[in-house]
Amino acid sequence: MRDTSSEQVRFATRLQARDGAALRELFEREGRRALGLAYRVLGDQAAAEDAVQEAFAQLWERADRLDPAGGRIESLLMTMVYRRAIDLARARRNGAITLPPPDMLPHVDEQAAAVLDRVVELLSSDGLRRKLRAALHALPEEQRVVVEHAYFEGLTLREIAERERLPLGTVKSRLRLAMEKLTAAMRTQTLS
Amino acid sequence: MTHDEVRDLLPAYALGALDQDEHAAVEEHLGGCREHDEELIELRATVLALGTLAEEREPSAALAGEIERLTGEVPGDRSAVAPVHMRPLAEPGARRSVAHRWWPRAAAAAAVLLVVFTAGWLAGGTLGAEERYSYVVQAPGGAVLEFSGIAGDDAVTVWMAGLDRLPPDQRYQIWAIRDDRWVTIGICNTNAEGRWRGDFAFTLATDEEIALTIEPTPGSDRPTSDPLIRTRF
Ligand SMILES: [Zn+2]
Repeated sequence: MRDTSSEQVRFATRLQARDGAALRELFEREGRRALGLAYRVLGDQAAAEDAVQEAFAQLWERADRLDPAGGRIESLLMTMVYRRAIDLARARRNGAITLPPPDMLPHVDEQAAAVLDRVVELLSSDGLRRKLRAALHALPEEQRVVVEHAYFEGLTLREIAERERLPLGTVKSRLRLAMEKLTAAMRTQTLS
Repeated sequence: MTHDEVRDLLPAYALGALDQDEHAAVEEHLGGCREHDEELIELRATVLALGTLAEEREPSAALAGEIERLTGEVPGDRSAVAPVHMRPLAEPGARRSVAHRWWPRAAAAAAVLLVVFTAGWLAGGTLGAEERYSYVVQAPGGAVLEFSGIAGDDAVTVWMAGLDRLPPDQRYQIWAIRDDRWVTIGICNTNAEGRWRGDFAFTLATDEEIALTIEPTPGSDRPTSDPLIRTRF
């Protein structure tokens, strides 16, 4: 069994001490994934790079406030990249930024990152991706579309309802069913 | 909002897909009711995991350079050659006290102060085979544009500072003007601190006329706005 947690604490401690090499290491390791996520949301290389750059800048600026015993830095980084990308996408759509600036991993996300950690330990991250992708493809088309609109485009339930010309209640229940199935897929893996 | 209503909305809440008032109502309930914790943690883990599904993408050299720039260390782009940038101008911290603002457009072209230094000059007149150049264009208002590299090389490192970050639908475009033809050197945007650094695949001539304009994203074939700066090395 890998002793990942002490490695993570060591790494977070380096970042907290504003060790520049740690930030560059993080970019080496996670940059492609971070950019992939931002690009998936924004569909434009320049804007995606902006989102990644801003997330790294934000992480670096607040590094001294990191809790080394908290969630994984990778999860925190991906959350920040994702939120910046969604902010930019929403600003583009509405001409206004609607989300407040992301704070450090809130209480729930720390625990969520720990759950994800356990899944990744059991499965490897490739295994997790395969499993989750399979679960996403196994969803009925109408449910998958709602999850993709909500996650990758940052649309709200109301916006999805307008775009798909569906009653709000229908969108709400499709999203709930879809998320229950995806979560169940992850849970099966955690326990097995 | 009732306990059951909140449970119904938790997946959308976990995805950030609720309108602001609903989002606030759910949070208010969650503050006083711990029964949703476990479900919410699982949902958030799923949302975090969704982020791993995107295809990986190769960052540009410019982005990598900007990340290095964050840590306050200039990347060693050509390890064999000693860095000869004008440190007092190029140091990111040096201009921190200068307020970033647009320099006045009308005055810009005339008021530009152009400084040209070469590696030889900095090294006391001993130029090697690899002539390293560094052109610094400084404008009133604290904006600095630096071009550096090795003469004849098909890459130029550009460093910008003191230029306001543009909104997502706009980009800075840097041009070389050759016989009235505007050739793109590169396109970029500054960060929140008004800075950008990166490499462009471009061979800069020794007597280049350069210009900087603001163009709609992702850039233009020819300039669509008056240059913020236009000068000859
Ligand atoms: Zn409740």
